[in-house]
Amino acid sequence: MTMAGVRFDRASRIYPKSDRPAVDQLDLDIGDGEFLVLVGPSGCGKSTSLRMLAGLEEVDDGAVFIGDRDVTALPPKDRDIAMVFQNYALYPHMSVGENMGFALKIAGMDKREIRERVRDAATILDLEPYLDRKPKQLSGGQRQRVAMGRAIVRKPQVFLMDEPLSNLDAKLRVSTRTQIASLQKRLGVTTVYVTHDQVEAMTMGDRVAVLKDGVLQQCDTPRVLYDRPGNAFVAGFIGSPAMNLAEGRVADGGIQIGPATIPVARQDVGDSVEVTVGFRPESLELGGPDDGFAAVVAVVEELGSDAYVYASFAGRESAAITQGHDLVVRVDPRQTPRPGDTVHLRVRAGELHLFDTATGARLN
Amino acid sequence: MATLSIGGGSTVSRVIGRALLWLWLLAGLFPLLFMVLTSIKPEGIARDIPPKWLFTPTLEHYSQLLQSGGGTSVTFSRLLFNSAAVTLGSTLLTLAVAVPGAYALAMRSFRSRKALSSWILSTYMFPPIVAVIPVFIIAGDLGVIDTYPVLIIPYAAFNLPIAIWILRSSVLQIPYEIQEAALVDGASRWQLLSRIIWPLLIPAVATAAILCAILSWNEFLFALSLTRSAAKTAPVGVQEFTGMYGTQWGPLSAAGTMIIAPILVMTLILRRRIVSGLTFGAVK
Ligand SMILES: Nc1ncnc2c1ncn2[C@@H]1O[C@H](COP(=O)(O)OP(=O)(O)OP(=O)(O)O)[C@@H](O)[C@H]1O
Ligand SMILES: [Mg+2]
Repeated sequence: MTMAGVRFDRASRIYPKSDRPAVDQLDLDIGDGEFLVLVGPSGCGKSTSLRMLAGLEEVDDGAVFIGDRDVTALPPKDRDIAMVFQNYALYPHMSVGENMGFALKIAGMDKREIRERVRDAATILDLEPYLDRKPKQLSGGQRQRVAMGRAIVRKPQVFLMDEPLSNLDAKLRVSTRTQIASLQKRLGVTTVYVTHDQVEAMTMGDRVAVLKDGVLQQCDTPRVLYDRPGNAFVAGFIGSPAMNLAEGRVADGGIQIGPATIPVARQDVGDSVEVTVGFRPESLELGGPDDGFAAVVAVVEELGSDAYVYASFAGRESAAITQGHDLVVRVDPRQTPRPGDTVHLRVRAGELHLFDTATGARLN
Repeated sequence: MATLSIGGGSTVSRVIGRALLWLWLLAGLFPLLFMVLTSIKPEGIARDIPPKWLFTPTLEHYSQLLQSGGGTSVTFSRLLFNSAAVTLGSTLLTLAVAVPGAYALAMRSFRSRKALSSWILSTYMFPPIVAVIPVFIIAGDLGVIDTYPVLIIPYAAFNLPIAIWILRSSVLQIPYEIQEAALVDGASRWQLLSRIIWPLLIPAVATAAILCAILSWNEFLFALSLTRSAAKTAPVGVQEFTGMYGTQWGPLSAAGTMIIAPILVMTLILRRRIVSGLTFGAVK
């Protein structure tokens, strides 16, 4: 088996009767054996990108490479890829074993080898007892594993997965995502995985590519996406609860947000005037009365290991009722403030993110 | 048996509803029953009025019928054979055209598939009687009157719209991702058709085949106009038992019974398929 990475070279897809590209000049270089996750809100072009790689969607502009082969014009069957669909797309008239062996049978592999490979895959995926069943006699989780099995028996150059966990219940989703990630590491097959769930993206991906409106926003390791989001969109999309983002103006000594001023060094904001300030819930510390800025606690959420405080900048409490809270703060669950309290908050050094409000670009 | 409860009403109204249904059913079945009884009555008592209900059943009409015929020299068994041949031929022809046609009309890359499909279905409303005379003239020019093809081809033409429609809606019910999965799995168009679409389509093909077969088997008008003896079908034969010198009730009802029997048996065996085929697209 030859190893292969994947490369999107300014690849675009414009659907007929649409004036806006669904995928706009996508540039992505995916390493051999890498697990890359495409993530973004609904309709951002994740599935379209994946389907362009699969050969199920035309590439209107640019090119797609698998290894050093230009596959832009090749039909799916010549691309040596395996795909797991969101609804699994199992062949209803075939048994589990036949489903998994279908591609090999089409390829003309001899029966004994097919049976061996199917059995191996079934062992890995705990599907041996079900090999003779039809898909409709399986549970959702089992169907999902058959879809995985159908991909892995192929030993393809690339796995493509389009939201393969979205039909599972929350608990199964969590356990299956670790199974898929470890299976991928074990097989070492380059994988492109689509999800709209940023937690899935962060936990599974070697790297994560964030898409919005068909445009790639940032592609990096989960760590970097979290610690240094490239723009305000990525900052708000990655992380749960989401990063606190507040629009303000440059003023003396910092950024003025409503009645509060957040201290920022002048050189960090460059020429921007309208600046969006971002800080994660865990980047805030409770300080003394003279520290940072004041906020009024609205709700305290206890999660056991953590507690989250939903608060508004002091002087803006009334706006919070209609516009939601300004801030989420992670606090020690054993020392939570009470609703109505005024707390003083300070952003930890180096954990403040600054974005130009107009362009969304990162400033610091 | 499925219970029919309309509006989940009271027991009384359910009983009345049931009784009405049974009455309706018996009224509907009575002519059929009467025909079968008449066909096994001995010669001579068939026309007695009031009808005799007690008699020694006989198969004399059947054996007589299968050896000779009605008004012509052709035996009725030959007519049944012709009917079967024409029915089989037209059903196969219909399917041979309708299956690929339906697949094409379901393909996403086929631009005007919806308009074309609706138009094809609309041709089903075309009254066949209008076509009899033109077909007769054309067939006469081609010298194919009284042959199998002269019935097979028009029957297939009249059955095509409904067959295409049934098959197309079944193709559309196959999730598109399944086809894409097969393509990604390395299947060619042809393998996709033969290994994925076709097996999933078999129930719909069966439904379409049954409907075509019933229509062809029962068809009278074209058969009457376009055949004389060699390709004459059973429904035409039946009509010849009513002649100038009166009606031969015994052989007539025996012939009618033999025509109905295969359809009745087939319908009873496959009734669920036929119903689901006829309600295609109704629930989706
Ligand atoms: N067949 C199509 N024809 C026209 N437009 C399409 C088609 N498929 C998708 N689109 C449009 O292209 C854009 C991207 O769609 P895509 O399916 O790639 O989104 P996605 O990121 O996978 O979203 P989701 O998370 O909801 O699956 C959307 O605006 C969608 O409306
Ligand atoms: Mg999608």
